Amino acid sequence: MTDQPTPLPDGLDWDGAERRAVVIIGTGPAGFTAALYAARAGLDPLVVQGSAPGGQLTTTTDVENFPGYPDGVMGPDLMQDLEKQAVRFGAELRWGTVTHVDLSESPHRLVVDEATPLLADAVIGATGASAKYLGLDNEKRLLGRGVSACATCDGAFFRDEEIAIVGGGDTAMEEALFLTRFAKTVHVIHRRDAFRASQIMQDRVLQNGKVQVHWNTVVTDVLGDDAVTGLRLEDTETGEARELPVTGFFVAIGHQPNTDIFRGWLDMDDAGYVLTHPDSTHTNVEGVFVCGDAQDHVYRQAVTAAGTGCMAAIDAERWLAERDVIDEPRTETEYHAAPAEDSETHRPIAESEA
Amino acid sequence: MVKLDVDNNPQSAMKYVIRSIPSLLFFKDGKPVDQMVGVVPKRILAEKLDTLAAQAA
Repeated sequence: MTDQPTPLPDGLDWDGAERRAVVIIGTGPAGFTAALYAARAGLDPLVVQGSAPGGQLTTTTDVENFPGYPDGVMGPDLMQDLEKQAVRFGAELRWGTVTHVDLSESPHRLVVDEATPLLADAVIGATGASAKYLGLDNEKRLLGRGVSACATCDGAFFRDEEIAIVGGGDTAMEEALFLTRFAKTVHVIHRRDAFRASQIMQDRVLQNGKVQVHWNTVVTDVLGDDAVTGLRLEDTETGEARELPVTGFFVAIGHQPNTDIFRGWLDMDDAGYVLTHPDSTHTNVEGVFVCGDAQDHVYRQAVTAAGTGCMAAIDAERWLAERDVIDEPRTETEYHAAPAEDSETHRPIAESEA
Repeated sequence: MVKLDVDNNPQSAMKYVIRSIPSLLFFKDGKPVDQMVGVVPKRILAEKLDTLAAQAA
C-alpha cells in the first residue's frame, strides 16, 4: 500500500474547467443527505454519482431500522426517496465517477471518468464502502460468473443449485438465509469453530435445513473455466484439502472503505478509513470533508451515514463562509460554541443571566 | 442492441449462464464471443468494442 497520490491525467483543460462551491462525491445516504443540506443552503451542489449510484442500500431488501419508516422500506426505494429530496432543493446529479483528485490547493481539482476536469472549493467525500473479497486470482476472474459479493443481487440466478458462502458475521448469516430461498443447499464456510454473528442470526442459520456449515475451513481456490464449478477448501486443523462442487460462491467477509482516490492526500487509518477531526467531518486538508462509511468503521449504519452527511454539508457551508466564497452560513444552527453553561450543574445559563 | 429483462426471460438467462446483472454479451454470427459483467465505464466499453471489431474485420 503506497501513500503516494495518483498523478492527474495529462492534457486536461483546467483553465476551462467547471468550478463549483461544493462537489459531493458519492450517492449513498451520506452523499444525498449532504446534497440535501447543501442544496437547501443555496450552495448549488454538484453530486458525482459514482460507479454504484445509491450505494450499498440499493443491494439490500428490507431496511427496517431507518427512522421514519414504521413498516420498513426497500433499500432501493429509500435511496430513490433520498435522491428525490435532494434534487427537489436543487442538487445537481451527474453520472460518472471521480477517478482522480489533487487536493494540494484550493479550489481542489477533481477528474471525472479520467477525462473531465472539475474544480471544487469544498469537497465532500461520501464514497462509502464496498464488499471485501478473499483476494484469490480465480475469485476475481470468475466475478459475475458465479462469484458474487451480493446475495440479494445475484441469489435468484442459483435456483435449486449448490452454492457456498464464506463469512461468519451478521451479514454472512443474513445473506446465507436469503440464499436458502433459492438454492438447494447453502454451504456456509467459516475459518473458525464459531460464528461471530449475533446469537439470533446464528440460530436462524444453524436451524435452517438447507444450510450446511463447514467449520474450521478456508477457501483456497475457486474452480471453473467460464463459470464457477467448485471450491478448493482446506481444513484449518488437519490441513486436509478437499473440493466442494458448487455453482455459486458468495463472499461476505466484511467491507472496505472506497478511499483509494484520497490516498496520499488524506490521513487514513491502516484499513483506509479517512481520519476526521473529532466531532466533525473536517479532514487534514482544508475544505475537504468526509462522511459516511468512508470515515466510519464503527457504526456503519444508513442513519449514521446520513447524520455525518448532514454534518459535512454544515461544516462545508461554514468553511465556505469563513473563506468568503459565500457571504454567510445559511443553515440555522449554532456553529461556534455550545450555549454557556453553569460549571457545576452543566445547565444552560439563560441569556438574561449570562 | 438488445436488452433483456432476466426476470421475464429466465430461460435465456439460464442458456447464457447469467450469474449477475448487468451482464453484457457480445455476439457475432449468433454466438456469444465475449462478456462483461457489472457497470463498465464508457472508455472500457469503447476499447472492448474496438478490439472485437478489429478481430471481426
